[in-house]
Amino acid sequence: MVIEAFPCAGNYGVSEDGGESTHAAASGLIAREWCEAPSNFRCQGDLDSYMKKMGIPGLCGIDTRALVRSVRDRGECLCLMTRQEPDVSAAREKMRAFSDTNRIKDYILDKEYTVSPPDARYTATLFDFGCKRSFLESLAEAGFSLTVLPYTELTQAKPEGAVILSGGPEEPEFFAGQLPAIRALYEAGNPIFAVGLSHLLLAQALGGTLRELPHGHRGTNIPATDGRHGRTLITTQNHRWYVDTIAEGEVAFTHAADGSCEGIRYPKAISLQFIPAYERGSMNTGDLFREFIGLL
Amino acid sequence: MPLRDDIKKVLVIGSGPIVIGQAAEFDYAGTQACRALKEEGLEVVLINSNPATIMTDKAMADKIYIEPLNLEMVKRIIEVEKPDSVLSNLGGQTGLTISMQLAKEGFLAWNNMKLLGSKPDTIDKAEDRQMFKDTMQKIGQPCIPSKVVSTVPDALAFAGEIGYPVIVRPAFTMGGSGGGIAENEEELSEIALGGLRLSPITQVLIEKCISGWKEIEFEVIRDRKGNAITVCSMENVDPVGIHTGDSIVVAPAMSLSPKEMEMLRTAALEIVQELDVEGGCNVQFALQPDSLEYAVIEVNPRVSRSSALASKATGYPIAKVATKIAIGYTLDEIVNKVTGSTYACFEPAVDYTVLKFPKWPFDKFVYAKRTLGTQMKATGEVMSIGPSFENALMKAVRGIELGLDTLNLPKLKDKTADELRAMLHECDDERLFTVYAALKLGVSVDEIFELTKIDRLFLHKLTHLIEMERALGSEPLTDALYLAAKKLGFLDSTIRRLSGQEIQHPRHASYKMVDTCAAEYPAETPYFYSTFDEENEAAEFLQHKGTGRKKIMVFGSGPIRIGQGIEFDYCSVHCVWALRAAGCEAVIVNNNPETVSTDFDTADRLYFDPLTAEDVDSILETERPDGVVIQFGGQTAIKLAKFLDKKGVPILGTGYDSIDRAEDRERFDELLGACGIPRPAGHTVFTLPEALAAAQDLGYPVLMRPSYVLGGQNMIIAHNDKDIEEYMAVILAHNSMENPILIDKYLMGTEVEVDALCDGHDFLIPGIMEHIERAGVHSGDSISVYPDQNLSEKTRQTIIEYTGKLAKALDVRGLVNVQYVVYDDEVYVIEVNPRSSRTVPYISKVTGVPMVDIATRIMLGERLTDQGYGTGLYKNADYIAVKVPVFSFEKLHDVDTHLGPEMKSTGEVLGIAHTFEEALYKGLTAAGYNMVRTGGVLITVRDSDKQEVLPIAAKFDGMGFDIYATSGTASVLNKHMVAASAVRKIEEPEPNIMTLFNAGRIDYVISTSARGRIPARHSVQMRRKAVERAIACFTSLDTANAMANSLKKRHSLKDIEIVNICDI
Repeated sequence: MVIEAFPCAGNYGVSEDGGESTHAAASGLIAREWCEAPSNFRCQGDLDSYMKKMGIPGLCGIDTRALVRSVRDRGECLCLMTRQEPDVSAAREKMRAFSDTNRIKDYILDKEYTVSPPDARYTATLFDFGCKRSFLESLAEAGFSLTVLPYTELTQAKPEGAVILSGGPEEPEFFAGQLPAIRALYEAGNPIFAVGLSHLLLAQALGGTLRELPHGHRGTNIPATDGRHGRTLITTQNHRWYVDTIAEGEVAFTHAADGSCEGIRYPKAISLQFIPAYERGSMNTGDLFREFIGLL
Repeated sequence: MPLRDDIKKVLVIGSGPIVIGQAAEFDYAGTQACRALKEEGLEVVLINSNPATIMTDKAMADKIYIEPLNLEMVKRIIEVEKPDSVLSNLGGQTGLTISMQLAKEGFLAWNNMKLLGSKPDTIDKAEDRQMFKDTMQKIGQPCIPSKVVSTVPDALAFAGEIGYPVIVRPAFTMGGSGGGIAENEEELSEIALGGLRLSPITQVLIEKCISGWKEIEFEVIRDRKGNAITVCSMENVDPVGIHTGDSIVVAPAMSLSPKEMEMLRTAALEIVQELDVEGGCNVQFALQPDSLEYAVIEVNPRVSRSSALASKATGYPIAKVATKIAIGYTLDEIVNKVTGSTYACFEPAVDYTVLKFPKWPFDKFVYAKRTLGTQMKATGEVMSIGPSFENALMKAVRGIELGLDTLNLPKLKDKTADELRAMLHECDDERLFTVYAALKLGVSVDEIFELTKIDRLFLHKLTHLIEMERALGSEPLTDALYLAAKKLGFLDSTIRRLSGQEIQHPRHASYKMVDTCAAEYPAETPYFYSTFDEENEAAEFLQHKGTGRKKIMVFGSGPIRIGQGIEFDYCSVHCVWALRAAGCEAVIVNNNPETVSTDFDTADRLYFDPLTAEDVDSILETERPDGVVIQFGGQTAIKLAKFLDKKGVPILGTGYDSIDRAEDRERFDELLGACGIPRPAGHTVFTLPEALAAAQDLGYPVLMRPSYVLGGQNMIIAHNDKDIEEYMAVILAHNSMENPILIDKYLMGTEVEVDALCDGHDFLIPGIMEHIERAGVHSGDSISVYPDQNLSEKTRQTIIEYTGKLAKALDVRGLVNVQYVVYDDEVYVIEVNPRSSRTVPYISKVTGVPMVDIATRIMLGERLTDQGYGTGLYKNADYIAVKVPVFSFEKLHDVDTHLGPEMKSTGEVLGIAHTFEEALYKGLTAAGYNMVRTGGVLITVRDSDKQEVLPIAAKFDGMGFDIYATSGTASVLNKHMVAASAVRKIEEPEPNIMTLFNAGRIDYVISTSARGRIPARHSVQMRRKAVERAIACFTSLDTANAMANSLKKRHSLKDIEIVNICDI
C-alpha cells in the first residue's frame, strides 16, 4: 500500500500517458485528502475514478503524517484496510498468509516486442522484470533500438551485444532462479545496464549479498553520490533492499545520508539502484546512459 | 575541501533601508550569513545603512559600519579594514550591484580581494537583458520574445513588431521599479520613458506580454563541484502579469503534473549550471496552462524574498548554506542541522501546504492606485502552513491583519454578480476576495478562470470554503461538521457566528513539525504549525525535550507594513536572546517569513501561526508557558493583551491595564491630570457634527485620528470644516463606530521623542531625540536627531521629569515611548506607548544601552539599579546620530508625497558622526539624496509658508542655485531680494514646471500645499512627477532648511569620518 506524504493527492488528475505500466500494482492508496476537481490540460479523469477502474481501495481523511512516522519508526509492515472493526486474529492470519508475488507476471508482457526509434544508433536486448514505460522511452531517446523479452527468456535467449536488465517488483527471492542466467550473461562479456531490481540481482548473481533498509528509500528526492567525482545526483527511488557486500566491481554510488550502495560499476556493466531518466543535459541522470554507451 | 584557507576576513554588504521590493528578508539572509561566517571563525566586517536590523547588531559582526551604502563609502571602508574577500550575494540587489561595481572597476583585484558568492560573469548573464537572452538561447531555454532598447522610438518600433500588449522591464532596478504593461503606443511612450530614467544603465526590455500563463519559481542551490538541488518549487496563484512579490504564492507548486515539474526543475538546474552560480539562485518560469510550452522569465543569482520564503517553507536555510558554499564548502559537506543525520545535498520534501499572502499599504494610502502589475507594491507578507490549501489560505487571510476571518470582504457584500464580473477584469489587491464573492454568487469556475486565469484547481478549492460556510449556516453543528470546518481553517468564533449555534466540544489545535523531510527522518526542529489532528508533535517534543526551565512565549509583530516594520523584529529577537541568556526557554510565535525571528534556531521553539487570540490560545494550551511577552511585537502583539489578561496568562512586564490607560482617551486624560502633565486640548467624537463642533471649540488647525491607531493611520491635520468633512468620511469608511475619533488642538512646535525603561521604581532614559520637522509630520517620517540639539536645560529637565512620572504612574515594567511637543517653551505630551518603538534599535546601537535586554531582565524581576546603566538620563554618546526616513513613493502611484501626521515611510537609515552637520549629511546621503551642490531649485509653497521659505531660498540662492518658483511664491521671493524665475504651474500651458523637469533643470523641489492627498490636485501631480523623475522633493520647510544647511557645509563622501559602531 502506498501512503502519500503530501497531503493532497491527485491535484493534476490522471492521464493515460502518465502511466508507467499497464495497470497500477499497489494494493491500496492512503492519502490525507484527494482532489475531486483536478486541473491539468492533460488530465483525463480524477484519482477516484482511476482507482475504481483499477479496483484499488483507498483511504483518506486520516493523519497521514502520523502514519508515516509510525512506518519510519517501526519499519515497513503489512497492513489491512477494512471497512469494519476487524477481527484481530483473523486479520493477523490473513496478513501472515499475504503474498502478491503471484501477481508479478501480470505486469510483464509475455511476448517479445521491439522498440525502434527512427534515429536509433545502438541496439540492445532488454529483459523485462516489470519495466517502467518511461525507462523504455529514456532508452529510445538515448538512441537505443530495443528487443524486449520477458525475464523468463533469460535462460533461453543468447543475446548478442548490449543487454539491459530492467527494474521490477522488489522481490529478489522470487527472481532467485534467474541468477545463474544473469551471471552467465555477465561472464559472456555482454555490456550490461542493470537498474532497480536488476541491480540487486546482478550483484547477487556475482556473489554479493543483500540487506533490507528499515523503511526504504522512496521518493523523488533521494541523493546518490557518484564516488568518481563526488557529485551528488537527486534520484527517484522506491526500494527497501540494498546491496550490502559486493564480490565484483566497485561501488559507484552511495546514498548521501546513510551511505548505502546505490550503484556499482563493473568492467563491462553498470548497475543502479535507481531508475535513471535520459536527458541531453548533465544535471540529472542522463550521463549514466552515455556512460553505458561508452561500454559498447 | 572545506573552508578555503585564503579567507580570513570577509566584508558583508547589507541591503540598506527597507523599501518596497527589498525588505526584511535581507536582514534574515544577512544575519544568517554573518552567523555562518563567524561559526567558521572568520572575521566579519559589515556595512549596512539600516540601523533597525539584527545584522547591524554588535553580536553579528566584528566591525559594523552603519554608513551610506554606496560605492565610495564601501571603498573607504575596504581601505581601512583591508578584508581579503567580499560576499556579494546575500545583501539583495544593493549588495550585489556594489560588489559587481567593485569587481568590474578592478578595485577588488587592486586590493587583492576575492569576490565570494556570485561572480560578475554570472551576474551579467542573469541581469543584462541581452546577455541573459543569449545565454538562454545557447542552452536551448526558451525566452519570451523581447528586445533591449535604450530609447522610446526603439521601444515603439519593436512593440510594433511583436504586437501589443507588451511589458516594459527596466534593467537593474529592484522590485521591478518603473516597469509596467503597455496596451498601446501612448502608454508605452510614458512607461518606457519612466523606465529608462530609473534604469542606472538606461536600458529597458520590451517584452511580449504572456499574462495569464502560470508563474512557477524554483529556488536552486549549487556549489562549485556542480552539485545542484532545487530546495523548493513555488506556484503563483496569480498568473503571470502580477509581480511575484504581489502574488499569492503556494509551495510546493500544486497544479503541475510530474512531467511539467520535472521539465521545469531540469531547466532550472541547467540554467544555474550554465550561469555557473555558486550559492542560491531563484529561477522564474512562465508555463502555458494548456501545453508544455514554457519560458524563462527571470533568474536572480542571489538570495531573495523568494529564497527567504522557500527557507521558511521547507526548513532549509538557503542563506546559510549559500554562505558556506561561498567560503569553500560543498553541499555534501554541510550538515542539515534539522535532522542532524542528513546533508545539505538533498531536496527537501514537504507534507503540508505553504501559502504566502502579501501585505499592501492601501489601507493607509487610501488614494493610491490599487491596481497590481509588474511593479511590486506590497510592503510585507505573511506565510501560513497548513495541511491543505484551504486551511493555509484561511490562516493567511486572518494573519494579514485586514480584520477578516473569512474571505468575505464587507465592501463587496452588496455587489451583484455582474458588478463582480466587471471588477475581475482588473487585478488589484482585493481580487481574491472579489473572486470569492463571485463564486458565492454562482459565477462559474470556468468563467472566473477565463477572466482571471487563476488555475481552476485553486478556484475549486475556494468553493470548498463557500460550501463549508453554507453548511455552517444551514446544518446542525455536529461534531463532525465542526471538525470538518476546523480542518478547513475556520476559527471557533467564525463557526459560532456563521452557524448561530454553540460548539458542543470545542477543540484546541495540535501541532506538526516542519522537518525538511516529510517525517522520513527523525528530526528535532523546534518548528511547528497547527493542524486539527490527533497527534501533537509539539506536545511530544515538550515531553521528550522539556528542560524544566522557565518557559516564556514572545509574540512577534506579523507582516511588515508602514508603521510596523523590521524594528519590532529586532526587538522580538533581542528579547528571545535575553530570555535565553537569563536561563529561560524562549518560544516565539510569528507569521512573517521574511524575518530573523522566524528562523527556526532563533528561539527554543517557533510556532508559525497567525497572531489571533484563538490561534494563540491553542499554542498556549500546548506550551503552557510561565509567562508571555507582548511589548516587542508592535500593535499586533499589543492587541492580544486583553485576551491574555482575561485568560489569566501572566503578561511579563507592563500589564494590560497600563496599556489600556495609555490608549483609552478618558483614562489617559485622568492619568495626565493626576501627574499634572499638560497635553494639547482635545475632544473625543463619534460623528461628523460632533467633530465639527469640537474643531470649532478648539480652533483650527486641529489634529484628527481614530483611537487605537497604528503609525498614524488615517491621521490628518484639518485646517477647516471641509477637511473635517473629507477626512471623517475616510476614517468612518475604515473604522467601525466602536472606536471614537480623537480631535486635538494642533500645536506646531518642536517634536521630541523619548524611549525609556522603567522597573516600576526607577527609570532610565537612554537618550532624548529631537525631530527636525515640527510637530505635524509623523515621527516615523521625521528626521530624528540624537541627542537633542536645541532644547533648553529647563525643557530637558521637564521632559525627564514627565517621562519618569508617566512611566511610574503607568506602572511600566520594560519599555515606554513618549512623544512630546515643545511649544512656546511649554512641554506637552502627545502620546505614550508602553511598549517598544521604532527608535529602540538605533538608540540601543548609538548609546550602547541594550534596551531590549534590560527591559527583558526587568520583566524577569531584575531592578534597573542592578544592571549597571544607572537611572535618569543616560550620559550622551560621543556621537550624533541622525535617523532619516526612506520612502517608496516611486512604487506607489497616486500617493501624495506630502508628509503629514500619517506615516508614509517604509524604512530608515542612520548617519553617525561627531558633529550634527556631518551626521545629517551622512543620513541624507544614505537615504539616497544625491546632494548636488549646483543646479535648480523649484519652490512652490502655500501662503502661510511664504515668509518662512525666504531664508531657505536665500541659502540656496547664495550657493549659486537657480531658483524657480510659481507666480505667488516668486513674487514674494523677488520682493525680498531672492532672485527667482517665475514658472507656470503644471496645469498651465507649456513651458511650465514639467518643461523644467523634463529638461533636467530641477534638482530640488520645495512644495507645500494647504490641502493634499487627492491625486487630482495639481500640487499632488507635480510632486508625483518629481518622484517619477527621482528629483528630491521636500514638503516640510524644516527638511528643506536642513538640506540647505547641510549643502552649505560642503561635505563630501571623501572627507567624512567613518564610524565602527562596535567601538561605541
